[in-house]
Amino acid sequence: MAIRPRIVRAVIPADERDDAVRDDVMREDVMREDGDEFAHDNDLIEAPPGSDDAVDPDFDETTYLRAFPDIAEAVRRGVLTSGLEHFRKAGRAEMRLEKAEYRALLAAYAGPAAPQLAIDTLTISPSGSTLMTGWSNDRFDQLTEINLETRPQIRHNWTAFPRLVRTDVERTLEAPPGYRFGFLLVAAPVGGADAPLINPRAVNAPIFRFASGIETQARRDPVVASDADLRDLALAALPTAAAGELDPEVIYGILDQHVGVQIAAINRLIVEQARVRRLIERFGPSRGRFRGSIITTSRGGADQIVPRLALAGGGPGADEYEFIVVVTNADQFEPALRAARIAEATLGLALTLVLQPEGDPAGTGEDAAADIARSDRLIFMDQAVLPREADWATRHSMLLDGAPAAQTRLFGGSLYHPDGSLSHGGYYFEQETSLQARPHDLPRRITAVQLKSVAHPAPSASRSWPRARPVTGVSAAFLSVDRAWFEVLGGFTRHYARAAHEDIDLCLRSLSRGVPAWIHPLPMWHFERRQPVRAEPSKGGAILNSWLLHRQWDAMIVPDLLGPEPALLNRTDAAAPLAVGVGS
Amino acid sequence: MSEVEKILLISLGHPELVLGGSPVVCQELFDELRTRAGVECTMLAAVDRDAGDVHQPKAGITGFDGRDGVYLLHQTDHDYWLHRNNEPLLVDRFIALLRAIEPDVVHFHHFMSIGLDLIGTVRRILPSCRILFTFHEFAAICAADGHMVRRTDRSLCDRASPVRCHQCLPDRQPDEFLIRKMWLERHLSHVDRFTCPSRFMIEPYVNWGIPRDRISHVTNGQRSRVVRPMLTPPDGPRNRFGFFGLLHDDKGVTVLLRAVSLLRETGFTQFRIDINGGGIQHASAPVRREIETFQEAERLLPAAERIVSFNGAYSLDQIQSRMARVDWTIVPSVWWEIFGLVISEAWMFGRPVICSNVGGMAERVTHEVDGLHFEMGDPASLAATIRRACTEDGLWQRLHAAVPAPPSRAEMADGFLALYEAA
Repeated sequence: MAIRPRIVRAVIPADERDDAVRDDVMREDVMREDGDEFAHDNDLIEAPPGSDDAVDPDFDETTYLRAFPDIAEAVRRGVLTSGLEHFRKAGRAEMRLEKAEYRALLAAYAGPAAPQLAIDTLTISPSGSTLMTGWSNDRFDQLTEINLETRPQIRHNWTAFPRLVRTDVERTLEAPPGYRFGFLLVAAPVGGADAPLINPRAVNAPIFRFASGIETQARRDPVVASDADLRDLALAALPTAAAGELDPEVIYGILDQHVGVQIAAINRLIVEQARVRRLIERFGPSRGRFRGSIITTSRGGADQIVPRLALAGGGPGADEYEFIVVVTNADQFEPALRAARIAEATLGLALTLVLQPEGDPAGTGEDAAADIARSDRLIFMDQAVLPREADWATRHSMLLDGAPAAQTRLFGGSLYHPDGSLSHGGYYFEQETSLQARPHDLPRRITAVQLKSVAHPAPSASRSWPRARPVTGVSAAFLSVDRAWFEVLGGFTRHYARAAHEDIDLCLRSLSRGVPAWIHPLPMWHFERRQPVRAEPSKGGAILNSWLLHRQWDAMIVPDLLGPEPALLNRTDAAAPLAVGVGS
Repeated sequence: MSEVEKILLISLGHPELVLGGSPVVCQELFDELRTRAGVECTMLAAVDRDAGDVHQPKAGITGFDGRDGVYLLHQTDHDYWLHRNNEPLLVDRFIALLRAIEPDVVHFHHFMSIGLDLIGTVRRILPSCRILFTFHEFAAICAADGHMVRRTDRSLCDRASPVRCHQCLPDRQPDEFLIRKMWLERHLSHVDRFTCPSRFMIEPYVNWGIPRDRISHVTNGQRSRVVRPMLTPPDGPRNRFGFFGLLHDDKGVTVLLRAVSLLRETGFTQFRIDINGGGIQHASAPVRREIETFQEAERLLPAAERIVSFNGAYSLDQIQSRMARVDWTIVPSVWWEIFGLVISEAWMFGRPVICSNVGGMAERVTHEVDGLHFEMGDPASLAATIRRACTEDGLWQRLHAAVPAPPSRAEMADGFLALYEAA
């Protein structure tokens, strides 16, 4: 196989992308005009001519090592760092490049030029997550494989990856529209959360293989980012990955080619990281077991902690419950500890602070907090949710004691806007058709399943609490679940971006096992307009979440679960588990 | 009464460190209870940086000036929106004080500068303790100074709602007012009995959510400030009027000054007005400008043509000499004026009161019997009343003869002691 080291440096900021691509092509052209078929390495060969570090343009690292096995062995044993080091120290004086075995190999490897390519961005996290974007003019010699060695013997290997429209490349190459020059590569760390950390700046240059068998390397200094930032960069790339086409089919196609799975795996990794990097501080009375554990993630300032604890935990029956507050903003750790001391002194609640220095600021902390709960009942209560009734804890306990177990294994309450209108009375699915405008063509009809929530805009319509009933799903803004059942279900799915859809996903998993979620008349205020909102998924995150949800559940939703009152749930015997034949 | 032994009074300030009526009332109650047999009374007064070097922000709770039974709660990092404490040390010290005193009754006089959370703390630390709370204005209902005066048009407000309150305080979202109300209700739910010094306050608080059977009226009371016999006023027209109080917007000084201007324009100048009070720095810029402009214009007039004298702030020790210079006391407040200690002070010296016809003023001063009402906020109405007071023969004598004795601090203490037992 021909090894043709070839570095194509394409620095392509968005506003200069066309120029940068043109420069690459021009450089290629110049090299061809010069007859320099090999365009030998590389960034290492950039010392001024005549200096000690100057390197003969005929020097090629791989060929050098193959031609001189003794030097290769020395490099392997670590005596030398590279063939180049040997060349500088001795090879030049020994005129190694003139030796027959070197010239023969060099000549033997001569072949057709590798297709042009460039890496636009290369982002690597210390755990090994990788995001790479770029393009390749492989119209006549298809790019088939990309390898990136992140640490010795461990490499990302991409053999299937999405190709993207790159109009800038098309213009510069004067290529007709239609060919997808771009590529988008995402990889979760090999080995997951347990993999040792790497030095992203020390990874080898990626190797690109083409259908002809040609291999080439392209170098770009990696940008080091956290897994969360890398994930966000990848999500941000999604809406633009299709050259501005927000066609779900196009973007879903990108996600289907491993990108979606890999981003989901990085999401999971982020949650796992948050789980192990945390401090736990307990305050207030300690008792063996509590009736329930109310879990909230504190967003914004810690000044919210005491008021919401007083309002959620100050009423009758609340002393049977413990409160777990997850703080993910390191700047708020000290204020949170002070607030906890105030809450302990003035409210006397059982309170646990979970301080997650690098926690994903939305949702994941709640999941991670579930395993330190000191009860058999987990109640996820968003910071923006407060009970409408002071005795809600008593009523919650009465529900657990009095309602059939099948109705309380997983349930929510009705959420109300402060003006009294119903903001969320359970999820349901609707199949909707929309028209997508297309230039110079008829609009395209798109039919898609949409996730919706039961709501009444008029307070008068919300005056009486809705009756208890099974629903397709309930919001994690207030979600009460039997802990054992939560664990059987595997907890919240950690694949979603920014904790969106994790609630409906949990409910669908429960339903697929015969236990639908229920709504009970536990009214809650929902101050979503005022409270610091949880970080919303980016546009790309929303696309990913939607892709994950539908990929997993459409087979169950479309036949059985459409509408606010799906027939499947209407058949439910209120006290018995549901027989569901789909899903897993 | 025998079972009531230890009473802890909690005040938003100490009257020697801050201005305002409720610290005076709390001090009066403390002084009276200290004279009662079988009662052991302690007072805890909040203090903040306005008290200068007396304020010790890192001390939590200290004594005060070596006085027996008096402590200061040194506020720091206080949340004046939800009225809560952010300093754990302060709460810890408060709990230590509760455990040291073990009061049978804790009587909160307000929550401002104290913290609503201390009410629940009392309930948690001393579950059987009886908790009383006295509303000294409408601070629970109204986040805008507790005066229930709409900032949109200075009209009197009769109810709170998230949207109405947001209109007065547009920097706060409507939702915040709902949360504030829930927070207040949660802490006030620990209170056994509520009191207010005027009866008209009961309905607004019941409408707001305080159970009717837990709120009642107990008058404010004061010791007499008459320290020497009052000299008989000279014969002739009763044409000397006095304003006593802070020069805040809601005290209505500008209504009085405009009334003077109206009378002067009509050529009626045979009267004098004494303005007694300070605190103009707390007035809004327009009100301050109007007062200062009037004051400067008055200063430039020949002495014989001056009607209004600005005498500045006064201490309670000076009140007799200030009262001796006037025949009438004018209370032109443009808010509800919860009780009006100045009315009690006027009555101590036999001065009939001319007041706005709303709230605590209208409740206490009976029109045409012991004083006169005028239309709140209307300078013309006040001008006409002043003119009548100066010119109607026998009016002052008739009203003066009917001026009641103001409620004494003993009367106030009796009212509270009855509730301490019943709570």
